[in-house]
Amino acid sequence: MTLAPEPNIPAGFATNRRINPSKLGILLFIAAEIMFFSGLISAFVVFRFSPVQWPPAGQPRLPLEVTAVNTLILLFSGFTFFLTFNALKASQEDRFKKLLTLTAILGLAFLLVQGFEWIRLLHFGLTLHNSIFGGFFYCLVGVHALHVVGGLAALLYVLSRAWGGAYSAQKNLGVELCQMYWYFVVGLWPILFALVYL
Amino acid sequence: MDSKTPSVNHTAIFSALVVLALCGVGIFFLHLPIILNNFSIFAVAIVMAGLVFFQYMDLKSEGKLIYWIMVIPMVLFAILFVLFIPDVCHYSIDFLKGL
Repeated sequence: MTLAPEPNIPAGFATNRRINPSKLGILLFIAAEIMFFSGLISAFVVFRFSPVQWPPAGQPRLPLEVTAVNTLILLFSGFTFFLTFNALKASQEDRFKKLLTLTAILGLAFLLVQGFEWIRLLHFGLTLHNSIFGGFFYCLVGVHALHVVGGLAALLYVLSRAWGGAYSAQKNLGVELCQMYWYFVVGLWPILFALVYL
Repeated sequence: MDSKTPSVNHTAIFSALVVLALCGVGIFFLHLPIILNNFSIFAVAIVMAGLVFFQYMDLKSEGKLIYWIMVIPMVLFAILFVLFIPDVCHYSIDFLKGL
């Protein structure tokens, strides 16, 4: 695929319609991820929306309050990432780095709280194999947690490059791609939280 | 697109997300009938996800084609949901007969 503008197309028209290949790639990846989670969620919803008692009797109660606060932490990380990108576009390098660090800390906090709650649930007897409730819980929440780990790895990579001065108001594609993926992870969580915990 | 998109107050959107998250938890504690409860909570969650995707994932400056990439999985997702409605209805009818 050539990137040279076609001669018969008016100036500016071709560039406006062209999608950045990196953005296209990350969006296709997110589209595939949406389909992946669609399969998991739809299977879960059949059980969740049936009038059969849910969660089944004898299962540990999920930590609703802690996870609700954790949800706010993840949502706040999305907000700080938005501010991060704005700071970069405004050439506020110092603010950009600090906000990006804060976003990474919030993501890490979300993950640590999730991990801590998982350990507690395992001690209470909720395992992957002992019921379909446990299976769905660890599958849905676990797969999302893996995506947070992936997002966090990308975030830490971007963060290390940011502290090395790799990004500027004009050169910010890496931050933008990481941001898009992070928003996918953040946007997906309220749906999983509502389905699994509420 | 060259047209300037109206600026969005992202602090207000974050506040809305917090309020919606609290609403979702609040609905849970209202102990509504199960179907109403589930659909209400799910609707709130969808709105939250929509706010994050459409307001925070800043794609407004991109060409419209980029939206079509996201439309395809959304449509397939919707089809998938429609396909399991008979299962959910089947459960519900059985449950209502048992009352």
